[in-house]
Amino acid sequence: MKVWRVLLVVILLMSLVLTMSSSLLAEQITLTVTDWSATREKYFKDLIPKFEALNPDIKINYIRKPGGQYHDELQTAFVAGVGIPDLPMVEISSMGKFMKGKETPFLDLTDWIKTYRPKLIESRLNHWSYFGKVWAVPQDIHPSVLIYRRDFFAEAGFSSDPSQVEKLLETWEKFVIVGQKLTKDINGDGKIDRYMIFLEPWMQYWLMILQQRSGMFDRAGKVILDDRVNIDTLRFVVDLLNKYKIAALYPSGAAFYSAVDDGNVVTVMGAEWHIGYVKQYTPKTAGKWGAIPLPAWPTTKIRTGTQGGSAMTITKACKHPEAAKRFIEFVFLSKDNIKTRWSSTYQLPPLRDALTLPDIVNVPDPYFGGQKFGALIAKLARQIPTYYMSPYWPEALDAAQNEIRLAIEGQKTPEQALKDAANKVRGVIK
Amino acid sequence: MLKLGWKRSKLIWPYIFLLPFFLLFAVFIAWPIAYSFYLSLFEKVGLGKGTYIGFQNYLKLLKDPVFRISLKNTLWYVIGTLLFQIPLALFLAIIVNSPMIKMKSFLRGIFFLPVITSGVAISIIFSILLDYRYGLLNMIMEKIGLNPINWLQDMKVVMNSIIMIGIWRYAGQNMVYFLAGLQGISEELYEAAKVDGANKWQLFRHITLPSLTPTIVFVIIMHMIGAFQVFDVPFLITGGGPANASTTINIYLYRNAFTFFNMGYGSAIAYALVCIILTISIIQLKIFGVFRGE
Repeated sequence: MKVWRVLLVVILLMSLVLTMSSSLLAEQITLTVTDWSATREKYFKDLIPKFEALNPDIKINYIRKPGGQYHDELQTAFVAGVGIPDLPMVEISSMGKFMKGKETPFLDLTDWIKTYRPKLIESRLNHWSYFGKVWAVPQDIHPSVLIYRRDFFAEAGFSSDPSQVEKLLETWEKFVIVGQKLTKDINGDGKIDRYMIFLEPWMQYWLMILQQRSGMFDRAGKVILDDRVNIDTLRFVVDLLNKYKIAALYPSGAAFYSAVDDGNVVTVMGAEWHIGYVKQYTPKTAGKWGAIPLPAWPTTKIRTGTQGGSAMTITKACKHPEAAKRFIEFVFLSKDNIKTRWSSTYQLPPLRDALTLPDIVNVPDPYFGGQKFGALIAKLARQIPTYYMSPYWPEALDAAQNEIRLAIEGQKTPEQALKDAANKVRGVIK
Repeated sequence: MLKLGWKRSKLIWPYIFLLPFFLLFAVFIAWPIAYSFYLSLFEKVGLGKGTYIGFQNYLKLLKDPVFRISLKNTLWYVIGTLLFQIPLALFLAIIVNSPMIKMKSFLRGIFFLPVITSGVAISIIFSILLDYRYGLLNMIMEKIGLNPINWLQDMKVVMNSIIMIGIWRYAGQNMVYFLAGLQGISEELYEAAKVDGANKWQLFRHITLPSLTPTIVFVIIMHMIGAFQVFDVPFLITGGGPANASTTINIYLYRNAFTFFNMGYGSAIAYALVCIILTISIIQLKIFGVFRGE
């Protein structure tokens, strides 16, 4: 009996060892995905189990980190060489700094993304390209619009119908003329209470120069901040504030939404994510807004731009890049998941299929008085001009924002301000 | 032999107990400090090995107009908070120490509360309080017939707003130091002076202030060391803007190291700040006669 007991234990132990070895042999790949966005977390949590069910050999470890420190932590991980995620989301204005230096921490996706180019809105890939190569797959395209208060237009005797207002504000010249009628002192205290527009001012300035096919860098990486188009546009922005007096600087933080709620502004100009925040934080004004394309410049007639954005990258530390690509393809390049992403974020994916999806283009939006906001941004997405990024984007943005402010304060002319900004960036570029 | 071995092993134990501290100190404080100086001698932008450039980063600092602005803003903050916060803290300490005041512990707690409140919470509250359109401060000013001030977006005013917040935030901490100093002054000195006919001002001028001198020196030096490193509130409220009007040295350091990923230059800014603080501290100690023999 003793012999049989010993034999039984040995057999049990051997089967345990064999089971463990076989599970080790069937390699389970774990990929770490990091992000900061609470709205994207909704669709990641929805899509990850579906991906894992279709790909039983891959496990996704999704981690959402606080936004304020996200890119600093990512940078620290890259420098330390420890704790590097496989698939980090990266914000567009932070991407440049990772492209500096002798090494980049991300995989070149140019050859892989070629297959998917016909599915994507081409200009969007350029926004994530450096040195002629693609380093990330964008999750959005952020077409920009002008939303306006229908009731203020009606009060002033204008039509409030979007198709009419679109013609009324067809150009920036017309915007000024209409703005001078709509900007007013409501309570008679001698101070303007309602402005035609608030200017951040970089946000709106950027959209205006992009409309004119300009930017901060050209295709070759040369600084073009002080090009004639940019200088003239800054002069226009300064005039909106100081000469025509139809604009005021954005109230900061929560005060901006309070000002919008209180009717202190007639129009808001921004990318669809910015308009999304206005929707979220000014529910009192729901139903009072209409949305139209941006006023155009005579040279290009482009009526939209883009600002901001996030994309997914694959780091060089990722041990299973092919598995990582399968995940990106499933979440960001598949037509099947567009609806899930849209319903979580209300941000338009840069996929051509998204531009005709009924769940996006056929849905009336009560915030805009029943107007089909999705249809408008889908139409404008096709027109978004390209622009060129640079590893020195953070320095250029910092210099431009500071110098623009000095021009607005009257401490420098627009020409001097942008020349100083451009020279500062040129001095830094190696 | 046995006795010698026992003595030696007894001597080792204190060092063994101190070892964890020194290990942690070496890894998390000493090594980063040394490595940061090493980095400051390199042009290290982005990932990958940097290029050794000696003290070029420091020479670049001397010509950097934004560094000069940040230095000017930081000096303004240090002086502004020093001139108002120290007398305020002393005043609060005298009030709290007064025998006529009840609820001393409660008052101490209230005045100290801003010190332990997180910088994030303070920044959020003051962003709202100082808002141009909706802030409470401007509402009160308008009610009493004054014009509202753009506390956080006016380039000429923003640094003064940051100073105001700094005074409010740390007055309680210095009050506690002064309170400890006041409670260390012997009552007999006051009694003897009163017998000689001294009034309240004379008691303060000839007994309180001189007796508090070591505390005042300590508070001024500690205040200046802390004030030179101001970062969280201006960073969170204004980001250093508008147009660098509230950019401090630490904000500029952060911008270079993390926003621009220029670790070499960021490290040089850090060491420049160390040199400034060290120089000013030594000058202060000399002025206050700390190095003089007894």
